[in-house]
Amino acid sequence: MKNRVEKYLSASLFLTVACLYPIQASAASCCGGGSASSLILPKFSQSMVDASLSIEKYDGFWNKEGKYIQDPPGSDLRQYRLNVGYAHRLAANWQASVVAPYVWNDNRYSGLSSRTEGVGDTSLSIFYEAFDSIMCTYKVEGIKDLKPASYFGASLTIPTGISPYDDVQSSFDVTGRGFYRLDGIALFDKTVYPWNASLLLSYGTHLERPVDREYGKYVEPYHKRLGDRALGSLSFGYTQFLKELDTVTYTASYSDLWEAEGTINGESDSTPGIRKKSLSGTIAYATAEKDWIIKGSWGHTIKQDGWGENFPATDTFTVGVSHVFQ
Amino acid sequence: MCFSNNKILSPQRRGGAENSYLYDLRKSLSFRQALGRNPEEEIMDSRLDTSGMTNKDIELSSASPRLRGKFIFLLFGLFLVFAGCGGMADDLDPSGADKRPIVAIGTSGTQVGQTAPDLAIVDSLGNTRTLSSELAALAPGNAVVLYFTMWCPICDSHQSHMLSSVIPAFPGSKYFLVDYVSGSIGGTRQVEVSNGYSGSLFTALADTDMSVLNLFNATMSTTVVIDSSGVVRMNEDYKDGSRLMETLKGL
Repeated sequence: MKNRVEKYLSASLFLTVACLYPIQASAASCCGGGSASSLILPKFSQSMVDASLSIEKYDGFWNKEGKYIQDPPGSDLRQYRLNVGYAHRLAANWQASVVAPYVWNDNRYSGLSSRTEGVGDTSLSIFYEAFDSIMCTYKVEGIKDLKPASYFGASLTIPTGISPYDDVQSSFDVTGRGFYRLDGIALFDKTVYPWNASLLLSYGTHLERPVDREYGKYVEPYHKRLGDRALGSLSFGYTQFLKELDTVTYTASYSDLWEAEGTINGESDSTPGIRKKSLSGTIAYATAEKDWIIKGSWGHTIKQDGWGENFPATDTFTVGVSHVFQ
Repeated sequence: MCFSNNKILSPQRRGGAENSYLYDLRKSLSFRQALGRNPEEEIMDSRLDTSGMTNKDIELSSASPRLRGKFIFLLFGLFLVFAGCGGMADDLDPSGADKRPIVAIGTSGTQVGQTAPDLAIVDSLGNTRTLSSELAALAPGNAVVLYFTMWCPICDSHQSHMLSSVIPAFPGSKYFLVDYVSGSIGGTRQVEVSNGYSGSLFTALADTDMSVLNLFNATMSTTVVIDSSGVVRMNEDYKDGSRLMETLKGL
C-alpha cells in the first residue's frame, strides 16, 4: 500500500524534473563531444532507467568574436548519441545516477567523409533533495506553497570516451574530451499546476592532466587543463491532463553555456574559451501512474552573430524513454 | 478554483498529527476531483494506511530495487574498468617520458628532424605551388608553415591567433592553410572568402586528394614548420601557438 502512495506522491514531480535533462551541452566531435547528461530521480521513487537517442546536426559556428560563420559548402556534420542511464535512491533525500553515451560521428564534406564511433564520456552524479515532501501544488494558499523543490548535487565526468590524446588518427575519431570534470549543480523547481518553472545552475572545473600524445603522435610531454565551465538554464512548462489522467508536458528552455580558456603547463591557453546560448523545446508524455515517460526535444541555436563564441551552432533532436521503479 | 469545495487542513493546522505526505496526497486527490475524477474510487478504496509513514519507511520499503540498483551500478563499474583497461580510453596518466621516436637526421620524411620530400599542391587561385620553390624563395632564418584546417571553430581561433600574434612577429616566413575537406579548388576558394581569409597573409591550399594530409600524418590543427633547408622543425597540434613561436624563433 505504501508503494501505491509513493506513486502518487512522486507523480507530481516526475514530469518537471524529467524534462530538465540534458543539463550539459555537447560539443562537436572536433571539440570533443559525446558528453553524458545527468538524471534526476523523482522524489520517493526507488530507481529509474533511461534511454535516449540524440541527433546533433552541426550548422556553422561562431568565431571568437561571436560572428556566425557557415560551414564549408557541401558539408553535413552530425553526431548521434545513445545515452543509457540509471538513477538510484540511496536514502530518503539522496540519489545517485550514472549515464553512459555511445557516440557515432558522421562527418561529410565535399572532399571527404568519415564515420567513426565509440563510447563517450560517462557522468556520475549525486544529488541531495533539500525538501522532504512534495513541493508541487495546485493552488497557492500561502507563502509555503511558493517554496521550490531544491536539489543540490555534484557530477563527475569520467573521460571514458576517445579523446585527442588517445591513439587516434584524426579529429573525426574523437568521442570525448579526455579530462575529468567535477561540476556542482543546483536545481530549483516550482510547480503550480499546470504551470512549472525551473532554474538550473552548474559550475564545473576540469582537472589538469599530463599529455604525451596528440591524435596518435607522441609529443613533448606537457600538462593541460581545460577551462572552468558554467551553465545556466531557465525553463517554463505547462502540463496538460488527458482523459485518463495521462499527461503531456510542454517545456521551453533557455540555456547559456560558458567555458573559460584553459592552461598549458600552467600558462593561460591563448585559444579562447567558448560560449553558447541555446533554446529548447520538450514534449513529454507520461502515463497516469507516472512510471513511463516518452520524451521528444529539439535544442536549437540561433544562427546569428552574438549567440555564441568559438563554438559550433547545432540543432539537436532527442527522443527518449524513462521508466521509474516506485 | 480547483479547491473551492475542499476542506483540507495543512499538517500545521492539524497540529502535526498528520504527516505532510498525506497532506500532499490529499491535495493531489482534490485536484483529481476537480478534474472530474472520483478520488474515493481511485485511491481511497485501496484502504491506504499512511499514518506514521516517514522517509525511512519509503527508503526501506523495497528490497528488490536496492539489489537491482547495486547490480546495475556493478555493471557500470565493470564497464568503466574495462573502458580504462581495454584500450577504449586513453592513458590518462602517462609516465611523462618523452616517447617521440628518434629519427635519423638527414633522412627523408615528415617527422621532426627529417628532410621533407618535395610536394606540389594547388592554391585557391589555381596556381601550382611546390615546396622546393617556396623554400627557395625564403630568406635564411625563415620557414614554410603549413596549418591543416577544416574551417572549424578551433581552426578559426588558431588561424586568428596566427594572424594577430605569430605572423607579425615572424613576417619573413610563409603561412599556408591546407584545406583538406573542400575537395576542389573552387570549394577552397569559396570557404576562404566566406571565412574572411581572402587577401590575408595566409595562402589557402586545396589538398583535394588529401595527399599532403596523409604525407604529414596530419589532422585538424596540425602545424608543420619546414625550415629553409627543408628540414621539418615541427609537426604537431597548434595548441596555444607557443610551440610554433618557439620553433620559428629558434630558426
